[in-house]
Amino acid sequence: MADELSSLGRYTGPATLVLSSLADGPKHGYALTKDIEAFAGVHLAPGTLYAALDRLVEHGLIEGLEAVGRRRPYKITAVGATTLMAHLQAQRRVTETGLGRLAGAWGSS
Amino acid sequence: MNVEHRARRLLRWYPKSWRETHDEEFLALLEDSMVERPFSPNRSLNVVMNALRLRSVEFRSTPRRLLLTSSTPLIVLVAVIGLTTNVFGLASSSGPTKGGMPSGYGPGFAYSKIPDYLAVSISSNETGYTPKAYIVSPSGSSNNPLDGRIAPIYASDLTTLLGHLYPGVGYVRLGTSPWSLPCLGESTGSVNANGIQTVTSIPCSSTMIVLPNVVGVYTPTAVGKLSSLGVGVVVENIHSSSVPPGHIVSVSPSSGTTVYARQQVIVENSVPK
Repeated sequence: MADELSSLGRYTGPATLVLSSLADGPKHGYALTKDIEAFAGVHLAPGTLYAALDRLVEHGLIEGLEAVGRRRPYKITAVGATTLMAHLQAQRRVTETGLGRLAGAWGSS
Repeated sequence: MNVEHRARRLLRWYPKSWRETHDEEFLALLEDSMVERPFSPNRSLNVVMNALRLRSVEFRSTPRRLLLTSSTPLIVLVAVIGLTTNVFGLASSSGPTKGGMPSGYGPGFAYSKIPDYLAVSISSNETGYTPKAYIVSPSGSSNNPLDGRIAPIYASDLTTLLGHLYPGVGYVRLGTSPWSLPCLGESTGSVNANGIQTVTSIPCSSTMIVLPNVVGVYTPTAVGKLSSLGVGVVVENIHSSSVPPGHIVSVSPSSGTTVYARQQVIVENSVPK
């Protein structure tokens, strides 16, 4: 079930957050950080964020746009969107299976 | 020191090739982040370690012939030395000790005997240090060739560095923040990796600590001393003509001040002009 995002190893987490954040439109570094904090409760430190951005650009999953002032927005590519979709669907299967089994075995509602 | 200046100093840790394509956008992010949260040891460390990782990648992919003639001022090298047995034999269990990168460990290996930091030389006239890292994969399986080794942090997973500012803490799993470790004296947790158990605890944040005077002390020694007390140490470099390179110029808050454990303390390390 290995998709391209999973092949990023330790960058899979940050990369998934970044792609999810960019799914609704381009954002620059600080906007990405704030957005990810808001929807995932995760603070990506600058070094980690840029390590993930570099890898995503390398894989063609996102691209840098013309800088606006000093800030460069990044945008998800078509390949990036497809990749994110596949990854999240795989994650959903895991989530649903886990939750289902927990509910069955542990009676959580 | 203003935000712009501090951001530029952090940026300088990155290799030139990276700075050429990212400088303004990365500076803008750092500055925004510093305005929001003026001091964050995790942020500084995160930037430094990511930068060092890029430098180490660049270093490994550069032909030796080029390195010898390179004018690139910052070449990060693991400077010292020390084969495992010697290093561990010499290492004291309290306070930092200079050491190299051991190639591995055996069962029953005493973590406390591992040097608290690994010396690195950054060009010929600048030395720095990096805290040790014991590398354990979060999931238990990994392709990381460094898995299970003691290594300088820049050679390991970036998130490990969060757990290694504190000599004496023991090792923590990738991605574990030292702040989440149990309090000393309250409860202790143990981490088991490959048969080694270490109790991990650092002083609770309610513990009061009087900062010792470390001005003029060899930087790694000072960092080890402060961090073993339980404060978070951030090292910033500053040019000084009176304090020898690699020694502490000043500490903030100043020596003698009472602080809480886990609080951030900034030490300024002397570097040559």
